[in-house]
Amino acid sequence: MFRITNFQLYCLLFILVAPIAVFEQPHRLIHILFNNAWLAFIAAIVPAILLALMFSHIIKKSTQPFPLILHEHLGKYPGFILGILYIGVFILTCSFNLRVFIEFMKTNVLPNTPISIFIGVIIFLGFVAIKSGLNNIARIGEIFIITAVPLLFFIVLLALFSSFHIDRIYPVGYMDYKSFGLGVFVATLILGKMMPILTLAFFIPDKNKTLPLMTKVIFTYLIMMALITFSIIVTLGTYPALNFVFPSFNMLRFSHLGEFVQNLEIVIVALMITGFFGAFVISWFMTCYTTQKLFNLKDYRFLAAPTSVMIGILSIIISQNVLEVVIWSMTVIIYLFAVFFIIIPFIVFIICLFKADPATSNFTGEENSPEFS
Amino acid sequence: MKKLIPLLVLSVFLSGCGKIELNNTSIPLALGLDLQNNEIVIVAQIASLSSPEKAKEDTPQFKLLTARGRSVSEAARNTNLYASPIPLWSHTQIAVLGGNLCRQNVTYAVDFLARNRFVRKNDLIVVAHKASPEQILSVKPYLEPYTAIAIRNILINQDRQLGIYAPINAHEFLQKLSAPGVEPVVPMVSLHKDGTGEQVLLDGMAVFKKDRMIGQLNEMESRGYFLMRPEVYYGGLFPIHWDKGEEQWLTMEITRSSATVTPQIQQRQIKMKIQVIAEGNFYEQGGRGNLFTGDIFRQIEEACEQELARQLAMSIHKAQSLNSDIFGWGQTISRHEPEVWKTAGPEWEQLFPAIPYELDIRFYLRRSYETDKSFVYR
Repeated sequence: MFRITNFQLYCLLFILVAPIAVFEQPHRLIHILFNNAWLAFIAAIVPAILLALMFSHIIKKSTQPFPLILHEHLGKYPGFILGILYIGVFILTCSFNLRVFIEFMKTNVLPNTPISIFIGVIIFLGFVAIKSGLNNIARIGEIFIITAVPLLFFIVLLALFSSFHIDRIYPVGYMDYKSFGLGVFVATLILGKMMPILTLAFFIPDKNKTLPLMTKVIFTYLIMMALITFSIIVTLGTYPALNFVFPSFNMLRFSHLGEFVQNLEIVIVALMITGFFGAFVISWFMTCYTTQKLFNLKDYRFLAAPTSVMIGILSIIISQNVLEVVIWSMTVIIYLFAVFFIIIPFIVFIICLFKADPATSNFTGEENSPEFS
Repeated sequence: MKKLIPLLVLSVFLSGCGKIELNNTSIPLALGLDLQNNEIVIVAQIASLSSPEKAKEDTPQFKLLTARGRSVSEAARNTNLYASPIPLWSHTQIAVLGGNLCRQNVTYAVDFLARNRFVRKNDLIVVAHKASPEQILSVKPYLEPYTAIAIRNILINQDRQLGIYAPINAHEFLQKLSAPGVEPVVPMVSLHKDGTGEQVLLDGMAVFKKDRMIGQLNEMESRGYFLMRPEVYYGGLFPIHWDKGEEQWLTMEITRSSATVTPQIQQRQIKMKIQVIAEGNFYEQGGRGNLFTGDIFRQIEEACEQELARQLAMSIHKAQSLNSDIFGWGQTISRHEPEVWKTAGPEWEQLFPAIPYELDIRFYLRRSYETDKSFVYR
């Protein structure tokens, strides 16, 4: 029996894409497009929809979830090798998410807390979440979407009108095509993180109905990012924003209600802890699930323990300082996501184009997954 | 119940690391920074936490903490060498920059303001004029317990009531220093003596260029700068000299004003067109004679336009003579004519002092409050 509703899948996809991006993407885009950074998110609607169509088509033409999709379409050995690489990518994504979260907390919230405490606590909570199954992670996603997203929009609007300098967005559209193309690419790239839908789609009642869900995620994400980036430019200005590690947070610090309700950024911190946690745990779930399927193991949940050590250590050694985290964010992660979340699925998509529709799915969602039974 | 026990145990650790007990903290309301003998001097005005009953009316309700260091942060932390409470810097209301620091190099203060997470970017900035930040912050102000609050309130109230000195907060200050084609102007605070002792006084504005203060605007020039701010503002007052009939001073209140600055490019020559549209009320008549006729109203409007144009011209002349683009004309060109700015931007320092401008001032007199006639003595 399937246990994820369509709404839960929407929540899981959104939580995969948005929370980290809120802090990372405006920083990247403003460096590329300056005052026109917000336009990239509007233009990204087209490639993002194409990306959703691509994932949707792969799902329709597949009978088994990712990573078995690789076996099905690319052959046994290439699929296996790629599957191994994907395990590494998921671990790396998970570690990077954790590291960004730590840098954010160390910079803005609890600078004196040892890094090991953060890693220990988050990994412990993630471990409990993985052990308790995908349903509980989906519930976290539901809570996040219902509470955090409307509140985030509200606080962004408060910040926007606290320091509203609309002239800072000018000259609108004055940019070279190369930068704009790169900006749209980077804006779309993060939506590649929806790739786990190739697995998760098989746990909803009808796997062929993922396109509307992905479209909703795309619209929510792009509207939110365009608004946040627009607010950063209007409130902070392009040039100060270039200097901040987390310009979104600096923008949100402007929010206040009259003179009596200030320091609203702590609410954002509370919301983002949930979001970071969700993004981190879903990547971790994908690590465990991919390993289980590749090696034909009975369950994925016992893998939480060994992978937790890898994730924790990798998050520490990934960079020595915040400068290296920024370099990772601006270069390595972009290439990594481009290759593994867009180019490889695109190759699979091309192969799928020439395949007939499978008669029925032979994946029930019950096999090897006790929490779905 | 068994599941709750680990949660209860974990809750012990929820207080976090590096926490500061409230009893061990102090509340700094103002931060003063200056440079003396190549050392940074930091002054913090700390609120004395005493109950209103115990607080004596005439004694200051604050203490000053002063420390020195090779950097702002070191100086700030050096306060803990002789004062045990840890200042919570996020409570500061204003930052007072010393004249020495501003004239030599403001970089120390700028980096501290930009980087330090405890500094709130909505703190107002002022420059100490003919006095050190310590002297400014040691003044016991009129009817206010703290100098920091007094300076902040004076800045905000004169902005609405008089319209002379445009307040600037830390964020705007940093924004203008970091963006090309615009420079910041910061209100200055000095001391003046009256019957009760020394009091703080808003006294001109400091003009910056890149990393230092290069000059100042007097009251009239500050009024001109205030008028040319791009946002719509409400409030302000100015007197005009009326010499038609009985010589007298008339006071006009600005109720709404906005300036639009647009670059005009003709044959590769840049010219700035400044249009100010203001509405106001007849606020006070300082002499006799009936001024409330249609013709005279129009003449008063023209006199107001001339006065506002004079203030604007004085301000522009000063900025151009100091070669500091305080009006953000460069930024305006970059926004309206980005192609022109591509070539003009690198040469802006040479171009700005000689940029011609055209003033188009319109003042509309709307109301005269409770009387629609001049007062008649019989």
